[in-house]
Amino acid sequence: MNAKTLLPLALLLLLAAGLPVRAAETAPALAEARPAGRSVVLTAFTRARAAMDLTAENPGKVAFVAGEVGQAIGKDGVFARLDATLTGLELDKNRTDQARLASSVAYLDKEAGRYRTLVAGSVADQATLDRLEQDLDSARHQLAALQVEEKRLAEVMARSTVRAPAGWRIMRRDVEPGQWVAAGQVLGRAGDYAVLLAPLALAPEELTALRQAGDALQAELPDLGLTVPARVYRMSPAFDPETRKTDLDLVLGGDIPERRGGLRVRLALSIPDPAGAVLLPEAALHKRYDEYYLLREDGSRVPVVLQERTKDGMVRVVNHGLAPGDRFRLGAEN
Amino acid sequence: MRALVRFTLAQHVLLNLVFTGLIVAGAYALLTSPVERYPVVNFGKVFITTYYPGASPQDVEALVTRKIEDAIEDVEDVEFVRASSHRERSRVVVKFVDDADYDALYDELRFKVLSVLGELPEDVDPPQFNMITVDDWLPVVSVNLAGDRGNRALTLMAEEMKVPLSQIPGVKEVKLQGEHTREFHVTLDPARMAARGVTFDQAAAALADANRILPAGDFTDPSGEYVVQVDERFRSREQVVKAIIRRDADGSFVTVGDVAADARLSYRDPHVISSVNGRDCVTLQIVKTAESNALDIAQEVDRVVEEFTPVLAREGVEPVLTQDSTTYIRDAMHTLGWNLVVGVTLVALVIWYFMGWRNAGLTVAGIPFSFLTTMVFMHATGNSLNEITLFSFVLVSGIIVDDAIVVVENIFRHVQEGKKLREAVIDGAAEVVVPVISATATTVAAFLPMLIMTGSTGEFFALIPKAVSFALAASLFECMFLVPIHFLDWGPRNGEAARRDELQENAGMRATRAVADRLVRFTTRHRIASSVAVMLLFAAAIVIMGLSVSGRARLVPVKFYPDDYHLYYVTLEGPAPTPIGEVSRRLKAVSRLVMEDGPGMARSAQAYAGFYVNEDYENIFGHNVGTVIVTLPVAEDQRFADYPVNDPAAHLERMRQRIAERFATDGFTVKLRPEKDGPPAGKDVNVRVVGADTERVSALAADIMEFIRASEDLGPNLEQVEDDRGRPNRIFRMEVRERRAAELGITAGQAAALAGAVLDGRYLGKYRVEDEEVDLKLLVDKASLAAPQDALRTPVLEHPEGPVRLDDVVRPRLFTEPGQLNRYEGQRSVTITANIKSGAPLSSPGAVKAIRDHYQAVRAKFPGAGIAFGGEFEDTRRSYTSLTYAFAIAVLLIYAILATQFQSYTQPAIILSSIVFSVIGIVYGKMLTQTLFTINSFIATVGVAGVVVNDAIVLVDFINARYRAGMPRREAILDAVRVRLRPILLTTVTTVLGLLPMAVGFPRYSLVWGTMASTFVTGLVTATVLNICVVPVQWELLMGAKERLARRKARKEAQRAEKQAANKAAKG
Repeated sequence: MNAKTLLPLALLLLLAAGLPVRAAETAPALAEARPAGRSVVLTAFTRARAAMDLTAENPGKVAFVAGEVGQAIGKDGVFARLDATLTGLELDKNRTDQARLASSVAYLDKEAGRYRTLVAGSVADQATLDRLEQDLDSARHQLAALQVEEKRLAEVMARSTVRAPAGWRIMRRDVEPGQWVAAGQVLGRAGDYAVLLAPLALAPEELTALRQAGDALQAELPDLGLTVPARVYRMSPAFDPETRKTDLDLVLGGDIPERRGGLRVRLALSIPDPAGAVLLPEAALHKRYDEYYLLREDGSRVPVVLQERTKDGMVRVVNHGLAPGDRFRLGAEN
Repeated sequence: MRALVRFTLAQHVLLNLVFTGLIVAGAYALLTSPVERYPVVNFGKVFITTYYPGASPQDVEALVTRKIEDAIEDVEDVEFVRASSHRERSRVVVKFVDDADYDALYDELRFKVLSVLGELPEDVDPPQFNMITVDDWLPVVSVNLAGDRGNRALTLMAEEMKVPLSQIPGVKEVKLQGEHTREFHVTLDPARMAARGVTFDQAAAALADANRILPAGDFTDPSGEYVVQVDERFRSREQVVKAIIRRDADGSFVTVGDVAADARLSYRDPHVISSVNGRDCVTLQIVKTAESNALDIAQEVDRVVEEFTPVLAREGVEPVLTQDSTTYIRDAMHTLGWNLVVGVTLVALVIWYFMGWRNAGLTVAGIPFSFLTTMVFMHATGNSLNEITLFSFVLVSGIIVDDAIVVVENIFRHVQEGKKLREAVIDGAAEVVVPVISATATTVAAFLPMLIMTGSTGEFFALIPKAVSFALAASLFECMFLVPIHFLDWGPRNGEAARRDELQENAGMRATRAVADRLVRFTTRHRIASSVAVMLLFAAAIVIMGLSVSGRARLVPVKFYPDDYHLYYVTLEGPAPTPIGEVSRRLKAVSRLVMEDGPGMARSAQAYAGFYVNEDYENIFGHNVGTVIVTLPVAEDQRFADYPVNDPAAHLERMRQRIAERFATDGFTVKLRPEKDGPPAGKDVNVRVVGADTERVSALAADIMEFIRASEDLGPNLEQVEDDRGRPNRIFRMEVRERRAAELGITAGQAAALAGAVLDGRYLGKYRVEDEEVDLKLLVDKASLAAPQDALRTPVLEHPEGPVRLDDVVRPRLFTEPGQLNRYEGQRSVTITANIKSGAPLSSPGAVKAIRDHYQAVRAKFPGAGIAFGGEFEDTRRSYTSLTYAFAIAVLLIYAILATQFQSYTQPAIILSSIVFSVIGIVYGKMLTQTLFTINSFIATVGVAGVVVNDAIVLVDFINARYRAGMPRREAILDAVRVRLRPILLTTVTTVLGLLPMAVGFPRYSLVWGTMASTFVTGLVTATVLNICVVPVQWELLMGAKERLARRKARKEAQRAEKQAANKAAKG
């Protein structure tokens, strides 16, 4: 085979090899329309799962406050202590009285035992025995009363320490040491920030969308630059006539480095759009003379109304007769 | 005079240079003169149009129209103020007194109206002013961009095209029409509003609150000054739908997007929807400057359109050219050109036949010279070449050779008599200079008074006397100064054997002379009989014309402004509630039907839904009406069903039937009429009922309408009896129940505001798009409003236990009321108009009298209301009246010229009788040929009057000369007729032949010029024959009477002398 024969053959082969490549190049890239829900962004601010006021049960002077606002309550659960000196003195006196009474009881018991023997031997009169018996009972009762009093005083002593659940964070501190407080006065407030909730009020279709998201529900914490999993923690069965919405709390999961209230939580929900909008890549949208249109596979134009450009390079368009699943050309019109 | 001619001959080099110079200047003027269809005429009328969204005709009248009327009350030189108030629109028409300083008055008017802008309601768009000129409805050409694209896209394409179109040299303005006003519409979904407990007012308040722009002063720091601004105006759909109506939890909001069914840029409900050839369109009207050439502009427009066509085709848009004035100009020039060529050839042939080819050449050379010199004058005086000037040229084309014929013929006669050439030229020219000047002066005198015509009609017609006078002046100059020197250089020479035939009278002329001689002998023998016969013929002609004009007998078909078969109107009118969109849809279907027939039957079909143009060029508005303007192809392209006959009237009748068959359904009516030429003249009967008391005015109008219909004299003889109260509107009024509203804790204002907005939306400030700010409108989804009553279910106040709905606090009322409220001169007015049926035994004055009599009988029942006739069309009528005056002045002027020339009070009367002869010819000519008598025929009558007297002038002048030379009367007559017969016949035959192609339509018939030419031909021919036969009779009768008087006087003198002599003798 000489060069004259080879050259055309090589050219033919090249041409044949190039043909499918060319065909592939000319076939337009297509994009499929996706249903475009209406994007609803709900904002909430984190709250403690629970919070409580820390209240003095007894009046008294504040002897000690365990922590500052924002600090966690220690394992002993102490928030503050009131001065309990007087209660301690009363307790001491009570115990002294109890010792004295116990001694009296012992004496009278012995005395009464002796008289019982005597009376049984008819050596002593019954009246003296009865008197001794009564004295003994009286002493015993007094002792029991003092024991009860001792318990009360001990309880008072214990309650002079204002406590909160260990680990809760002090939200508010209203007292300082040395300050006299009345019984029932709120000394501060503590909350459980170990579990962060985000309260929302949802319209029915929003609630449906939230439920449909299930475990995939994600909440954005833009202040921290985090996206964390979320789930419904509790839902109020009550009806709010003003809003006509359902109140619920989302609990935020994940590792949130800063657990506090007031963190902005953003929840994006996609709810069905009754107008029938679809989502397409921006490259599928063409604009001429202020009119937007898409190009079907056959090159025919479908005029649309542009509703929104999303941040991820998609466009949300709407028109009668436009349905999810329709395919449109990408790129410039020929 | 001989000295003048001698002097002229001595200056032949200078005059030849002038001749050449004028021809070159004329050619330049011809090439550079502005060319347009009609001259730019200002009608002295200003339209003030104001848009008040959502307002009823009553509101528009009370809050807008009357304020504007009050504002312009003390503007001077106002003839009348006419106002009409429609739904959402006020239209005030101010007509200035004719020929006032329109521009200064317009400025004053604008200033006065704009100074009361603060008194108009807040929502009102600023009034638009439009001073009407011809340009307003007659652009050079209109480029329509038609396609199934949105109005915005079409507008942007048009804007793109507007740039190169505006750059075309000579284009004054490119007007964009058909652009819809953009608005941003937020449509609320009532179901979603109810689900979230949101009311219309809450949504409106939220949008209004979020859409704010506040100038916040300025702030200065060491680096300089900052302008502080808070600009929260909506710029995107996202901003609108995100506007927060209510906060429910931390950040759980109810936004506009939650309750809106749609939010997008849309259009204000249009009052007019335009389309062309069945597709939506926007229109670019190209208006030229006064100095530019429409033909050049149209050519450039074609080039721009051609450039854009492929680009537009890609967008599915097609450029369609309509209102192409150049078609008419080309048509006019084409017709004129061919008629001139044929006419000039015929003239040349005739002159050649009677006087030889040299004379023919000398005479015919005057035609281009006169035209070109006229062009120099027209150019210098700033007049354009247009249909009116072209008409004037055609009118004068046969006349301008007359002077040259007279001069050449007379010189030639002297040559024939054997004089030396130079002497023949001097004698021949000098002999006729005075009669020629006189003849030209009489013709100019016939036309020039037309300049006194008033009003816009007068402005139109003013060009005719100007052009005619310039042409005649040029022709006079040519025959006085150029013909003698040209004859000397090029004319036939006596004694040259080779040209003997040119010098001897030919057989045709000899035969004609014999006939003329016999005729004159006959009439001079029967002087009284022939005079009486002419008088009877004239009297009969006047009667015939009177009967025809009044419509009692159609002996002569009279139509002042004949139908113009360049285009026709198809008008559709639906039942009162028909929406404009439905009318537009039907109009497009009509357009498609018309265009389906192909380019041989229609060039374009332009449709407007929302108004139609009546016979008086007035736009009658209404959402249920619309019109398709169909432009017919030019004559050579027409292929009607009866091709090759191509009768446009039959075509229109056929179209009328076809369109009515398909579209006169569902209560729609279809009317079809061809365009009428001429200014608006109003209908035959025009009664205006005016007064301060609205109810009485309406009642009196109704009474008169009833009278017209019931009257045996009027009813059967009138058609199109209608008033101008417009098409009735169906009104759905919601009246607030104040007490009920108060019980429910709602203010009457809240209820009223919602009631006012729920059906047609509420405007809430502006929305900013790239290039403009558009209105932001909040509406309730129309899908939930099948009937107006559904709007009553709209909540005013939301409550969990059930909302307070609109029908709890308002009471609906449904009724109809006039769609248009009219005022004339500040008083309520209703105008009743009607046309007299053709052939009906009724005249306009008769109808007016009957109505006036009826009014006198019933006026006691209608205090506070009166009637007036005419008014609106006074301008046109005044113009006609002044035209009649012009005719009278023309006759007086001609008489004055003749009296001066003949130094006689009586002889001019003989010459003026030529006018009587021409009237006889015109009337009988029209009656026999049954051609239309139009406004152009009337102008031709004026013109022919100036021409026919010329023959009589020269004839009488010669008879006088012979008589003074001592000839007996009869011989003087016969000799003068013998001498003057050839020039008289030649001038007549040349004029007739110049116009004949036009009169018979060879090669093409023009309705405009054909009627004029046929009038001229019949008038001139008849007058010429009668001039030759009857003028000598009258002269003889007059001179006979004079002689008798003189003899009697002489006898008395002699008797007295005898007596005195006898007395003296007796005394002596």
